[in-house]
Amino acid sequence: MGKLGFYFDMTACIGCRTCQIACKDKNDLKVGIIFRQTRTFETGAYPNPGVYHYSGTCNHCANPKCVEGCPTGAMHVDADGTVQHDKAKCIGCRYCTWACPYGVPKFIKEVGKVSKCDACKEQRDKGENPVCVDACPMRALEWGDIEELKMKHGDTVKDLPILANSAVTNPSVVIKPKALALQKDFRYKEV
Amino acid sequence: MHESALLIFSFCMQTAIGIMIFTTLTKQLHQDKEFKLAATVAAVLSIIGVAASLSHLGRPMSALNSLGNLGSSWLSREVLSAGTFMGIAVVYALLHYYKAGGESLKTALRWAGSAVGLITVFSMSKLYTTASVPVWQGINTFVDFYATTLAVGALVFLVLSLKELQDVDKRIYGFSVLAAVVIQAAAAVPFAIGLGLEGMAAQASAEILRSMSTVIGLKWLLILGGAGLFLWPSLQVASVKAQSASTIIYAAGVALVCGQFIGRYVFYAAMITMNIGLT
Repeated sequence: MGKLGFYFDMTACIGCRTCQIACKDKNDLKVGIIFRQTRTFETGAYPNPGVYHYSGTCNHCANPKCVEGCPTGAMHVDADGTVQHDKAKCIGCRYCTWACPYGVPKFIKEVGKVSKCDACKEQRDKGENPVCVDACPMRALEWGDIEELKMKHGDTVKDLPILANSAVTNPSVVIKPKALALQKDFRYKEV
Repeated sequence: MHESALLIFSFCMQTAIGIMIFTTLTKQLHQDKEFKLAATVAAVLSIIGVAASLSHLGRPMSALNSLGNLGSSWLSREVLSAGTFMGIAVVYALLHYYKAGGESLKTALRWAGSAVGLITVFSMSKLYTTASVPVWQGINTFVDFYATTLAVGALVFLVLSLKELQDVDKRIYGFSVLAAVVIQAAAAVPFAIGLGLEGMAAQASAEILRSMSTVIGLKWLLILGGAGLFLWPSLQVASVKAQSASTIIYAAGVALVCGQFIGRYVFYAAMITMNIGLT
């Protein structure tokens, strides 16, 4: 099996944030900590305004800057190629929160350590999907071999104006974008 | 600004390293002098720095885990080199109090401390420039950190050793400090211009810097003013009364330290990490 990752169908996403809630519930995250976050962006102006949603979490990059920069080895690439975090090693230095260009690792003050999406390793070990995938009412998310997902869905990208250049970390994500998400005049919209 | 522990760590450590470097160089010229106070202050500052860095951690008791990724992490390498520098600085200072060890051991420790110190500053610069924080990326961080090390180190060393160096030629210190801050200022200009032309995170940092323009103006006034003020007594030591020369050197030291400290505050305050929608 090749590199694992998420597929996100932006054309199907309605911005309901069920994925976000399912992730938060599964990981028992407190207020202010989110491992998967759906963001809403506006583009254009009257008479051609647009809106789109982007549901993002750890991209389990092929060249993860968090792994490279972590001084303890807590951030590591697991046997299945996903980027995992070993809580026993973490000292809460927060360097990974500076290193990741997608803002994925979160510092959890109460435990003095960082944590992040593990792509629901526990579920996957049982042959199930990550909870965000199964929770999505629009079936906008999928998990699997990134090359297979790319072939299955055809017209996909991994670069968007709202994302860091994929050449930096080579993220394992495939996105089916809305055409207007390729416009550079995006504005973050608080929801 | 949430990085006050790192501000104290980086500033104290770089000052201690600068003191060690100028102790080493000055001992080559004046082998009869001891510079005990400078050795003590370098050791104390390095201890304060390391203690501050520990207080930044969520789990300070597990700090030794940070040596676990020397293969790829510049932070891991910085921890190793900063810890080694602190060890050398402390042992070197203790040798002055317990009169232990020969001169050759002290010489070895001074050179080792200076070399490890320079490596520490490099690691420190590298870990910031490789983060996804555009305002920290590029050559400016290296120039800023090395300039602080050399300028503050030279001036603080001289202030601490003024009694021992009362009658010696101080031009080397004056020119070292001036060269360091002029290069620092020269690097800051293209950096400031370039920042506003980059991505959104860089522009957000540029906006913060614009809002702090008075503070940044004060920083440069103190840094360049301090270096300029220091040059005068260092050039004219023979014709100026010792008392007034000392006063000017102390004033220059205070100005430069305050200026560089403000600069380091701005460095952390302008931090904006890239994120989704903030590239």
